[in-house]
Amino acid sequence: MTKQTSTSKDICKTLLDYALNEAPTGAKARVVMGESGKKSVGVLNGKPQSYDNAQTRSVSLTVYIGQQKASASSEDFSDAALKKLAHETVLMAKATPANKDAMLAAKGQFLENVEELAKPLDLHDDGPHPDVTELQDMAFALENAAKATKGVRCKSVNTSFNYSTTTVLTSEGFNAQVKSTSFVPMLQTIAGEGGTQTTAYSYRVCRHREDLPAMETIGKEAAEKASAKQGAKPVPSGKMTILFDREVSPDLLGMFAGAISGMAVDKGTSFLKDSMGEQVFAKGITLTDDPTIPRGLGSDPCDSQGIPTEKLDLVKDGKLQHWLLSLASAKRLGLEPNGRGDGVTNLVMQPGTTSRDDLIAGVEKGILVTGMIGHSSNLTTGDFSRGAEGFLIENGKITQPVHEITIAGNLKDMFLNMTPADDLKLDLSIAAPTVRIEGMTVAGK
Amino acid sequence: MSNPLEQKIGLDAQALIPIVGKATKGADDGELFVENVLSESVILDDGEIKSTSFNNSMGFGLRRVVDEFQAYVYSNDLTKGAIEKAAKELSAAAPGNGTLAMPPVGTITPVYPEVSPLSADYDLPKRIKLAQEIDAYIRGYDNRVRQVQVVISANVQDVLIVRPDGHVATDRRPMVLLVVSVTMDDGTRRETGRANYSRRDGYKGIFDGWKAVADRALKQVDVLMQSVPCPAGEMPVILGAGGSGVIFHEAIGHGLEGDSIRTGSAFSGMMGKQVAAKGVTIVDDGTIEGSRGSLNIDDEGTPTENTTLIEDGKLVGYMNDRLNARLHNMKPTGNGRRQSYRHRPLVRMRNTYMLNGTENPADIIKDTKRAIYAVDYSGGQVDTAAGKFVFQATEAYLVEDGEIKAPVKGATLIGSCLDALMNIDRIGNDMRLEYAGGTCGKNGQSAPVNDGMPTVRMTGGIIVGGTAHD
Repeated sequence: MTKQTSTSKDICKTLLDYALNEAPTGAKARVVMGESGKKSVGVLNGKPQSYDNAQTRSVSLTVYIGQQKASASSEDFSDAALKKLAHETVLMAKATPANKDAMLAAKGQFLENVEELAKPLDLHDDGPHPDVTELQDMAFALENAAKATKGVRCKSVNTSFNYSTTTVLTSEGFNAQVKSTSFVPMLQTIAGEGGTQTTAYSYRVCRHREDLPAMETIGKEAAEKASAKQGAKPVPSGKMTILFDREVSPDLLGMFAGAISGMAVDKGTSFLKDSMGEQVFAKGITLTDDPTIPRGLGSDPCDSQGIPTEKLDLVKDGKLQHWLLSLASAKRLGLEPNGRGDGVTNLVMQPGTTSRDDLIAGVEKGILVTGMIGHSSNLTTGDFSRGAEGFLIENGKITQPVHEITIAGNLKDMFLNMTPADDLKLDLSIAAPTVRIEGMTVAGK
Repeated sequence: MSNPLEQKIGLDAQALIPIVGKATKGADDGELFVENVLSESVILDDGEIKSTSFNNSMGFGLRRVVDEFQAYVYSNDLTKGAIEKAAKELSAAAPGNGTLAMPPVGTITPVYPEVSPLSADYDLPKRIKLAQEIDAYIRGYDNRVRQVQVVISANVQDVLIVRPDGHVATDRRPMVLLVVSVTMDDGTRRETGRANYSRRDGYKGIFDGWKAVADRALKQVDVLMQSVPCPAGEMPVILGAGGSGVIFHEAIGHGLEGDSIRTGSAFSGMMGKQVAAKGVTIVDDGTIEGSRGSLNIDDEGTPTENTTLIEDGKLVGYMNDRLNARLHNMKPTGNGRRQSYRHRPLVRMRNTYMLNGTENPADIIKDTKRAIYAVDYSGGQVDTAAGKFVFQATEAYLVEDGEIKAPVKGATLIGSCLDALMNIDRIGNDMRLEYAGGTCGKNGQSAPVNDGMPTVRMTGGIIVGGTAHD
């Protein structure tokens, strides 16, 4: 009898055994179990707004019969439910036609000792979980710091603590359990009144409590951002130089990561599909994907198939060096998998040598973009069009806040015309310095 | 124990009332929300069945509301012991001395069948065969087709809501979804087009009507293959019937959600004022038969209704959940929705649309010198406090001298919530809802919604984000 109190490893083992018993000889299976918890508080106007406390877990099973494959997941851990899950998944796999991507990492391909190798990554804060008072004090500190800036109030203020354990077990012997924690303070601020309100937000995600900056710093930062936007207006349309602040430049790297996915490349749905070894970014630009950064938000010794990850320069001196390859996409392309079955890990654009101020000083007319709205970018064609706000640059100086404009171009040209500043900060799993791009189209009035 | 959720817990809803009572003693509101979701999908990609899956998610969330403070404990341990433990934790977390708000009132008119689409009538082999048939149809239609992706999915959500005052509500909510995506390549350029179909119903609509969805995806990608760069700058925009309705969802809807009004929306304090041109009436309606955004009751147990937001251009209503209704001293409108038991209710839209005007849509185009005519979209976003919205047109055309001319590449359109709708000068009589509706994201929660509108012309206030600048 599997009880609600059984450990993840026990449940994974039980489910794997049930599946292999149900399936024909030679079948393979993979079980993934996620256990997570969350404590979170919200405050506003000096009063508590919300308190959430949760513990949830779910288990998923994938069965492989030759090249036939099916998956199922459940949040019911009773013995009867696990048996039924195994039975139905096997039936589904039998009914599903063979598929060339159905594969499970074999011994020799997957990483052994994942738990040992994950230790130096230090993804889990072993200290006591924060209690409600600690989270509330953090949230009040955020709000008070924001309100200290004249004319600024908060729209929402939240602090949360998350913890999770992921366990993976396969019929081929892959066996991994990784634990992680995160502390997340965030707030949204409003400056001004009525129709001239401007907004901003700030947040941090830290694996360890001791890495959190002072709440006052985050609160003040969010307040100053909202306040600096007061008096924003659109600008007339035209071709301009755009600077993407390091708060928005990681978005461009995210699109790059989507475009070098091995699967998209093999299927021909990426605008970079024929660009391996070619100049895709401006000369001098290096993009590093590093899964080994201690406490990194994307750090992992292996991908979810167990294929080991290692540090890769995806782009060197502007030239494309690697696709992001899973076991399946590597096979399609006739290459070796590189542990990127789940995408990039910690993707960083290395800083340039020019300061951000010097980049701005060199712009006759342009816009420093600090926020983007909307999601329109087409990875098949590279076409890019987004709503934007920020600051007008005239004759090398920031002259006024700008909003209600769009910026458009093609990612292929944008990457090739990019100059990074030297202000890289490694705080999120995708990080880039402020970058300057020549010749984009601004639409405004 | 007739309800499947009562069976899971092993207790009648009646037996849960005292536990909820303990959790909400001295509170102003609160409830137990129990949920079970069964979902299944078939994904075809690159000519093969890439994935077949089945998921079962279940759990409860117990909420205690004191004034504006909400304490929430959730878990997927569906046992009496776990619910009792949550009740204990809640009463300690949020001390209070309030009076419990009145239970939901109103009548429920069922707007979808009380069945699970996951029935044996459309078993896995049938759904796999359909996906393959759609793939073959699209590839056979045009030799420029390089990739086809088909997603056929369905889910059924059972909810049980138990209040401390003895009010018990249940709902069974079916949903089906078909997504078809087509990539074409003619040797010089490559584009992708998409079309969806979704309803609160069984699979029958998908099995009977997939060809129209495939044809829409094919048409969209064919148009994109011929598209020229889109103009950049402020210019008149004609919004096509149906698909462009997302503009009201973003420009007006989110800013009129009660929580947003309370914490700072561009529309705060504008009740009774003219916020759109005369003739513009916009509603948020939870009661449209089978529509993706429809609900019999919201996730607090309030029966849904048709809520008028803008009447003849004047702001006349907000959307409210129970908490925001109480704080605004208004009536809950049945807009309290949650993504799952893992989430507290939020004020969310349902089916948001603009009512018909009187004009023939062809006349609107005939009378326009130069504009962008936006027919289909891929999404939108809004900053409610700053009052700025965007929406992304994926199928759009240039209109010149009263005629629809070349299709233009997809572009983002941006505008200001407070003045965009003041610039509407022509309203067609061809209102329809979107074919599929979409999924709306807010504060990390997603919710199925639908939008709609007649053909409308806006003379200004919208900036078109193309690359062609003259």
